[in-house]
Amino acid sequence: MSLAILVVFGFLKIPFESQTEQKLKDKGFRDWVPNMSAREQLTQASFIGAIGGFRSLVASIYDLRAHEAFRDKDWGSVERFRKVTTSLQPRFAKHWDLAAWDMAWNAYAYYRSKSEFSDDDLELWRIEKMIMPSYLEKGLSFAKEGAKWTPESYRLPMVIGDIYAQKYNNPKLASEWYFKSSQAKDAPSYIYRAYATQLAKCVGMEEEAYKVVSNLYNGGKVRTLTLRRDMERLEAYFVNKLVQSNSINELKEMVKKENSNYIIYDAIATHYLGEENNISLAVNAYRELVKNPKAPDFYRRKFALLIARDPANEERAYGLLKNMYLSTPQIFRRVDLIELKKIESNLNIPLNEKLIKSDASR
Amino acid sequence: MTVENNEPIDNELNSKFKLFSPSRVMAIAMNTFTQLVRMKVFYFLLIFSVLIIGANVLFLNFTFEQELKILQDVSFGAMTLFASIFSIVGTALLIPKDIEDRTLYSILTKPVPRFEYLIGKLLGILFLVAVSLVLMSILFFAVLFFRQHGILAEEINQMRGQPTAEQISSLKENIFAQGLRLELINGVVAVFLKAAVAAAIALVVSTFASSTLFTIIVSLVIYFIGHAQSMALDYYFPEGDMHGAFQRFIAGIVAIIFPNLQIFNVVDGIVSGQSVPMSLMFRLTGLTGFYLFIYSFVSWVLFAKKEL
Repeated sequence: MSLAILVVFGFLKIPFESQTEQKLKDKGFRDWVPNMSAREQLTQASFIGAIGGFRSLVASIYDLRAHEAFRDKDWGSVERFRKVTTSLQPRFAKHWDLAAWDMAWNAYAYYRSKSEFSDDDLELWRIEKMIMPSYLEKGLSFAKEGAKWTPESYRLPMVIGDIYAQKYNNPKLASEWYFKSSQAKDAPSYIYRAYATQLAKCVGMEEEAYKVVSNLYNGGKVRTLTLRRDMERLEAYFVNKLVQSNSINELKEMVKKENSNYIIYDAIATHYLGEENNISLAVNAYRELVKNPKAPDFYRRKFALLIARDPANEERAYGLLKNMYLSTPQIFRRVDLIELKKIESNLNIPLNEKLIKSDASR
Repeated sequence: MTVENNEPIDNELNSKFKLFSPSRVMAIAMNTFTQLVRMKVFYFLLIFSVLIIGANVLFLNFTFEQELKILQDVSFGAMTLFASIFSIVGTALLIPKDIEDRTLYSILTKPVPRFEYLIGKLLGILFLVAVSLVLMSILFFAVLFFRQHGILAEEINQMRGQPTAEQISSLKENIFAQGLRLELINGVVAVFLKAAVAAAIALVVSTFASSTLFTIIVSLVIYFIGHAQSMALDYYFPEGDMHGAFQRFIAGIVAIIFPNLQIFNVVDGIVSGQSVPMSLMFRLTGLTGFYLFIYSFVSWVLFAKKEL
């Protein structure tokens, strides 16, 4: 009788259970499949634990084991344990992030330092040509797989961008992944800046990069040193392009038509400094340029350094530079600091009043 | 007093007797709860406290995501374990203990139907599990609350220079998204629902079992099969591809008789940051109600015939 009741109700419950199971699958609660490969990866106790509703706890235990293996520099085990944690909880972005980090940074750096101490050429070749690239690939592969599992998170696309930027030195791919990462809802603002930085490094994409960088420079809340340098470098690129493709008369015509385009003034000044070496005409061009409120503040530095080329105006220029240095030191590049040091030396500025006390070129 | 004179009194009593009385069920439930509390079951809270405080202190060298996840994993793991043990062992102990203490006889000689006794016992257990889970949740949420604030302070201290308000707010959002959030309550509810089904299974087994040990072992086996059944079916018969009549029969029996406890395992996803829609929680609650009804009914059928 009891068995009959169980069977009758059992038939009734099956569709309801199946629907619930399907809904859980649709919502991503059934990502882990306890197949043969999972059984081989886990110990028996862990496998039972994972089936019995402690999957997250088992993943954390394997995370600790991976950490332990990392401390022992046992990279094979680190990889194995990271595979377990990521397969048990694929929607936890940090598992993928740590796996990618352990492979592409920690294992890679370990073998790089090992190669530095190796005297055996064959061993060195093996490490540099086989082991190190393979760990980079593994890190990248973890990160790409993680990005598929966590499409809503900024984290894994950012890690992929980091690997392309810092390990493969591929700014184009890095910028693409940083951009993808920056579009996520939870993305911090620095990722879009990283995108701009990588884009600014891409040869042939200067116009696109300039749009992004100038938008950030003019509209962003944070004006980082990198952003300032990228802005200056990209503007210098467009100035050189203008100088190379236009005569001075054409530039003068252009500035009449586009008076607000301060870059043309810089092109005129560059032209005077390059072909004619006429500092006073270049100074005049810069004088017009710095009147433009849209001109970035590094043009004021360029202007003051240009004035300082004339010994008669050096002291006045130093006064301007000093004020600039004290208010916005970020606009001074290393090469500018060397110039500033020279000016201080020419003017015999006492040591205690010098702005640049140490070797600026360091 | 003659026999004839007693008839009106009996009739009066019979007319007052209700087939099902919630107050009688509640009296049994509260008695069961008190009985279990006297067994000093709440001492487990000390172990739970040590576990979560230990998890909180031992993993300070990890990233905040790992640290908060481990804390949640250990807490939910302990909650699941304690709730399941209470449900199965507590239920397995009750009927044999009532027989041993002869309490059962004094209850059943009163006008208490056997199904009321069973429902009362089950409710008593569920009440105990609920109270335990509430106490554990309070402890867990308090530790998580203080830890996430501690982590925020540590992270701000480690930042170079004076962090901007935007940086602090972004950091806070990131940390708190992994910390104390409403979604965790759904996890606790899911743990309770699974424990309730486990208690109902143990109740069925205890009605025909010959010993407490037998009840515990059989209930644990069913509990394990309940977790593995859907996976085993998927594994052995992918896409419904049954290999033979016998396999099909076995698979059918397993699916029909045993509950699918795997559907209550939403905690893993919640800890990962996934959210369970309310419709799914209602579905799980409904399914639990269905299981409780079936197993209570089967228990009553078995218990009604039992010679005491």
